[in-house]
Amino acid sequence: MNRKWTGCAAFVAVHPLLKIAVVVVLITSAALFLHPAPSLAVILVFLLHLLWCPSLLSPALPVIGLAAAGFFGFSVVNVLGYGGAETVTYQLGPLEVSLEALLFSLSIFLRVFASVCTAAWLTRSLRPSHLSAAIDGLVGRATSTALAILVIHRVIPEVVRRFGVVRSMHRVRGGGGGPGRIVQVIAGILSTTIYRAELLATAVKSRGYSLGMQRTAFRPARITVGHVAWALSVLLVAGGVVVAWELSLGLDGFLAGTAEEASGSQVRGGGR
Amino acid sequence: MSTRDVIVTAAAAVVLGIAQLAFGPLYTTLSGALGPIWVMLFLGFYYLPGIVLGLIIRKPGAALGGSVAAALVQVILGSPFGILALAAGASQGAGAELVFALFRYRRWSFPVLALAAVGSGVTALIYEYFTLGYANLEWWIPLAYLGVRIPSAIVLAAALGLAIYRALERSGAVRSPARRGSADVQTGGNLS
Repeated sequence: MNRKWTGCAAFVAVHPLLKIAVVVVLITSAALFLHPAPSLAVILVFLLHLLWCPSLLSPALPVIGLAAAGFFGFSVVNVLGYGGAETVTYQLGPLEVSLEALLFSLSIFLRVFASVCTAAWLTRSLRPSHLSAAIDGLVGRATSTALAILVIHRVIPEVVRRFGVVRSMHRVRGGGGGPGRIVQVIAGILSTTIYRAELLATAVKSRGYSLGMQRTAFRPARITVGHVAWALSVLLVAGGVVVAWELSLGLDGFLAGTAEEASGSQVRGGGR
Repeated sequence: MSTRDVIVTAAAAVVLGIAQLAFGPLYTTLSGALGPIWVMLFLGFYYLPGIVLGLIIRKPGAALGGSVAAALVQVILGSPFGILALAAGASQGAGAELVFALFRYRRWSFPVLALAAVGSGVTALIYEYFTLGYANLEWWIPLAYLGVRIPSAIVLAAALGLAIYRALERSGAVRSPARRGSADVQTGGNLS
């Protein structure tokens, strides 16, 4: 096996969790921060990822591109929106809308769009076998957590498909609207999902697996120095980009921005 | 929980998590229309996983685990709340779990479910108080948040959860307590 393939195979062991970490950072940064540094850092991580092992992500490239564009657009729009354009207003029919409000709406749209794209990329490109190997290696004894995460990852595409099927069936049968329909749809999908889950549980138990016992065929993922070095280097690069970006704005701006952000996020974060 | 319970909880949480994700844009729209206090009349829908999964599994950890799993589904599928949804899910599930534990996982009547849903609302409010800066608001605003979310929890979590559970019973997906008891006797113990 040549060196490149060895590198690719080694990367696969860490890669699912790294992907999850990247997506968590992406979504959190989209939810919390209002400047482009995290987005640029994540785009750079994607590029490094592609350089390391292009074949793994090539089918997902368009989705990654969309996600990156969404995040970048979101960041730029936010910077513009908070850059002093607050006083410009437009007349939209009976409403008088400020440019800031329009930009903020657009930024929310881009944020949701980018979150969905990155999540779609994660779901489409992760393989349960890779995920299970990585979780088994890192979670160790918390097997119920690992099992639950694996089941969630496996069931999500089926349930999404089933939502469409059940909705179509209700439409064909002329089901009414309102709360009754919500109960019908959710209960319909829940009943088939529980039935499938019971079958899955029977299959899992029939192979000798149960909580508290290791699997019959257990092959832990081996985390080598190379994996740790790769993860650390990605973290360093991402952190370096964030710090370099902030310092390029000047230390005063950095500190002022941090304080403003801390107070602003408290006011902005209502709801759930 | 047994292997079967973990698998069923995780799978059912996916359904409820996706339903909540679909509810998210509606909630955001309503938030703009109704304002930050009255929109909490719809917040009870987020407490649904803890109630439904607690009712289906009826074992310690099901409400909390189910609520966290549903939140994880939302994070994976791109919730606009981001990773914070996970902590919110844990806080909501903890309230329901606490109430079910108080009744030793033996009573599943509507008042108990309503209490569990209100418990979810209270623990979620405690979490939000410290993370969303409610301490900086006027004293009556957090109280108003609580007052508005109580009826929401009773209707959208307890009543809706019970309706979903009864529909599941009719479909045969879950066993009613009477059937479960007789089946346990026939099989000589725990079905899981």
